[in-house]
Amino acid sequence: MADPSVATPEGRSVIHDLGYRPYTGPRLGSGPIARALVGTGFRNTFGLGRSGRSKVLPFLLLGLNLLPAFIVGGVMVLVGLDELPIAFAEYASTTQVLLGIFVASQAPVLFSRDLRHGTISLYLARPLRSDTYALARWSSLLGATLLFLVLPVLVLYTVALLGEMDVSDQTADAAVAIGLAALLALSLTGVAGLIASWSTRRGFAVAATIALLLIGNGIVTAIQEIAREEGQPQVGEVAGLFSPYSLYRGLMASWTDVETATPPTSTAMEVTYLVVFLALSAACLGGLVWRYRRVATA
Amino acid sequence: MNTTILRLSAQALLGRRRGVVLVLIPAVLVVLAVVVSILTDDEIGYESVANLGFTLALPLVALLAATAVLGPEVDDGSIVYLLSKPVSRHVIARSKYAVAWAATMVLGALPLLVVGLVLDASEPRQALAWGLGAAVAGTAYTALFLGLAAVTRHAVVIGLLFVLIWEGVLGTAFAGVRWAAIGGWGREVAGEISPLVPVVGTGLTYAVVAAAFVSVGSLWFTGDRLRSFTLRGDE
Amino acid sequence: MGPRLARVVPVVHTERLTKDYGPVLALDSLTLDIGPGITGLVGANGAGKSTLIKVLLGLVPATGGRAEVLGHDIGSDGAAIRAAVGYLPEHDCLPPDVSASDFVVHLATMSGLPRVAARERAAEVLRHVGLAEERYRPMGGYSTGMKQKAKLAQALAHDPSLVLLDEPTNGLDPAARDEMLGLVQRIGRDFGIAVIVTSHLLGELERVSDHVVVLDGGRLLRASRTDDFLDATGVLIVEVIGQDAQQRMADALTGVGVMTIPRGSVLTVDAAGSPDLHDLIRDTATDLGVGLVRLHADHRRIEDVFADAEETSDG
Repeated sequence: MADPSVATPEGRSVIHDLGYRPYTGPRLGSGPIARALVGTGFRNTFGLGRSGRSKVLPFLLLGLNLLPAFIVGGVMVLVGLDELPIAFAEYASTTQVLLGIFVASQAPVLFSRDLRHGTISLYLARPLRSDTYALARWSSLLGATLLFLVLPVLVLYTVALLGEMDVSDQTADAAVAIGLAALLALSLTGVAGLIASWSTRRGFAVAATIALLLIGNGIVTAIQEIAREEGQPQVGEVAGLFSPYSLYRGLMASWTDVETATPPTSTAMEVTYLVVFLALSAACLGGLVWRYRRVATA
Repeated sequence: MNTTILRLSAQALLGRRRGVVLVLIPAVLVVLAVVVSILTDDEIGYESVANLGFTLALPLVALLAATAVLGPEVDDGSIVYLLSKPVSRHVIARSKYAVAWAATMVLGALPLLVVGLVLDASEPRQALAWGLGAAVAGTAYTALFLGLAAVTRHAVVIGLLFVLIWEGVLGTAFAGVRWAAIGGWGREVAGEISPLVPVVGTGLTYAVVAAAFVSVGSLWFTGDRLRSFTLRGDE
Repeated sequence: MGPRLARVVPVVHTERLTKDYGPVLALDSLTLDIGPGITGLVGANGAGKSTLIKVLLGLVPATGGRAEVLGHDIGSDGAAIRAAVGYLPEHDCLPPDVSASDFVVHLATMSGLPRVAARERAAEVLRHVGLAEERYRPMGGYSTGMKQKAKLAQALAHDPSLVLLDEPTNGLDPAARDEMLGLVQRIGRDFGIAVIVTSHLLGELERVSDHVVVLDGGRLLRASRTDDFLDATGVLIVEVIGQDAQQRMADALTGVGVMTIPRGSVLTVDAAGSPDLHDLIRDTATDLGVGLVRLHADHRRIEDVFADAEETSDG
C-alpha cells in the first residue's frame, strides 16, 4: 500500500488519511427520489444544470412566446383599452408554432439522452422502477410545457387587473384558459415524449414530432376551412378530433367567446372532444411506460 | 461526384425510421388531396392543400433529407473516416447534396405536382407551376439546410425556426421578409408559369437569382466547412 | 439496510438459476454461493457473466430457478437489492456534457441520499477513486481511465454493501489497469464492501480476488478460493542460461536421479517428496557453470480450469 505521507503522484489514486467512511444517514424512499428526478428534469428542460449553450434555445423560445403578451400589455397600459385584444385562451392558439418547437426540442433532452448514452442502465440499477422513471420524466416535460403556456396568460391577467377590468370575469376567463392549457400540455407532452423515447437521435425526434404536430394540424385546418366553405361543418367538427391543436381550438370555441372555423356544436361533440383529448394523453403516457418497461427488461 | 458517397448517403437517408417519416409526409399530403377533391371542387381546397404542401411539407422534407445525409455521421463522429479519405471535401459536399436534393425533388416537389393534378386535372399548368416552384424552393432549402447541418448539431431546430418563424409567422406579418424567404422565391417562379398562383412581388429575376445564390453559396460553404472540420464534444 | 450486511449472510445465493433468451441459453441452471470479500467472476466472452450480474440486479428477469442477493429474493425484492448494491456496467453509460461531479451527485440522490449528503458523499468518493480537478469537466473529454473511475464513483456513492463491477478494466492500458485493480482491492479489503468483479482476462483476477467463480457457456465450471486454484503443484520450474545450458542441466540432473521434463525454455522437475531439491539444482548449475535464471514452485493458473474441463468432457 502506498505511503500516505508521500505526495500524490499525478492521477494515482491513493487512500488518504481519512479512509473510507460508511454512510449512516437517512435513505429516502422512492417518493422523494421520484420528486428529485422530476425537479432535475424540469430544470434540464430549460438548460439549468447543464452546459450554458443548452439554455439558449428554451429561453429564446420562452422569450419569443412572452413577447406578444408584453407588447399587448404595454399597448393596453398606454392606450387604456377596456378589453383585452386577445383572449387568454386564444394566445396559445396563436403561438402554437413556438409551443410545438419548444416541446419537440426539449422532449429529447429528457427522453432521448439517457437512452442514447446508456445512462438509463444506471437509473434502472437503482431502487427507482422503470414506470416511475417514465412518469417522472413525463411530469418534468409537462411542468415545463405548462409553464410555457401559463406564463403569458398570467402576464395578460396582470395587465387586465392593472387596467381595472372586472376581476371575476377576468379570473373566470383566465381559469378556463389555464384549464385548456393543461389539456393541451398533457397531449403535447405525451406525443413529444413518446416520439423522443422511440427515436434516440435528437434531430430526428424533433423533426418527426414537428412534422406530426404541425402537418397534422395543417391538414385538419385545411379540411375544416373547406368544410365550412362547403357548408358541411359536421365534417370539420369530426376532423377537429385528429390534432391536439384542433381539439384545443374546438373546446376553446365551446367554453369561451373565441370563434373558430368549425367548433363542436353539440354537447355530445364537446364531450367527445374532451374525452379524445384525455384519451390521447393517457394513451401516450401508457406508451411511454410500456416503452421504458421494454427497455428495462431488454 | 463520388458514387460510394452517393450510395452511402442514400442508405442513410432511407434507413428505416427516417425513411418511413420521409415517405409518409408526401403520402399524407396526397391522401389529403384525394380526400379534399372528393369533398369539394372549390378553389379554397386547392389553395389550402397546395399551401400546406409548399409551406410545411416541402421544407420539412428538405430539412429531414439534408440532416439525414450529414447529421448522423457528425453526431457519432464517424465523419472522420470520410474526411480522412483522399476525396475533395467539395466533392463530398456535392455528393451528399445530390442525394438530399433528389429526395427533396421526389418527395417534396413532385407530390405538389401530383396534388395539383389530383385536385384540378383541368388545369395542368397550375399544377406544373406549383411543382416547379417547389423544385426551385426545394433546391435552395436543401442547400441551406445542408450548410446548417455542417455547422451545428442543432441544425434541425434552427432550420425549423427559420421555416416556421421567419418565413411563416414573421413572413405573414411583415412584407419585407419576402426578400429573404425561400418560399417566397419559389412562389414567384410558380406565379410566372401560371397566373393562378399568387406571387409575393419580388420579381422573377430576383427570385431565381436569389435561389441560385443561396444554393450555390450554401453548397460551397458546406464543402468549406468540411475542409476545416473539427470534432467537438456534445452540445 | 444495515451496514456491512455483507459479512453476515452469503452475499449471493443462487439455486438452479436459468436465463433462456430463446436462441441463446445465457445461464444454465446455475447453483452457487458467493461470500464476502472480493469474488472474481471469470469466463470467456459470452459465458454469461454480464447476464448473471443483470439477473442479480433484477434488470433482467430469470426464466428459471431463484436467487437471493444480500438476503433479498431477486424476484420479489428487487428494489431492496438495488438500494444496497452498486453497479458498474460494461457498456458506455456516461452523458458527455455533464461533469463527473454533477453526475455522481445526481445519481447519489437517485439512490436515495438527501441532497446535502449526496454532495458530500460524491466529493469523497471521487477523491477515493482519484478524480481531482477533472471531476468538474464534462465527461465527454475524459480518457477511458477517467471514465471507468467515474463509473466506479457512481457505484460507490451511496455506500452499497455490494458492488458489481462488470469488466472495470475494459479498454485500459496496463498502468491504468493496475490502478483500477488496486482500487478494487481497496474497496474489498479496506472499505469492507463485498465485490463481485468480472473479467475475461483470466490472469488479472488472480491477484485481486479471494474467490473465483468460473463460468463457461452459462454453466458453472468451478467456484472456490483463489488459493485453491493457484495451489502449488509440487513442481519446480528451472530456467538456465548459457552454452547449451538446458540440455546439459537436464543430463546432469538425470545423472543424479532427478527426472526433468522440458517445457519450452524451462525445465520442470517433479519435486514431490524431495525437499533438498532446491540446493541440488543450485549446486548442479554452479558445477556446470551455467547461469541459473530462476528456480521457483510452479503455480496453476485459472486457464487450467478450462483445460481440465475440456479433458473431462473429452474423456
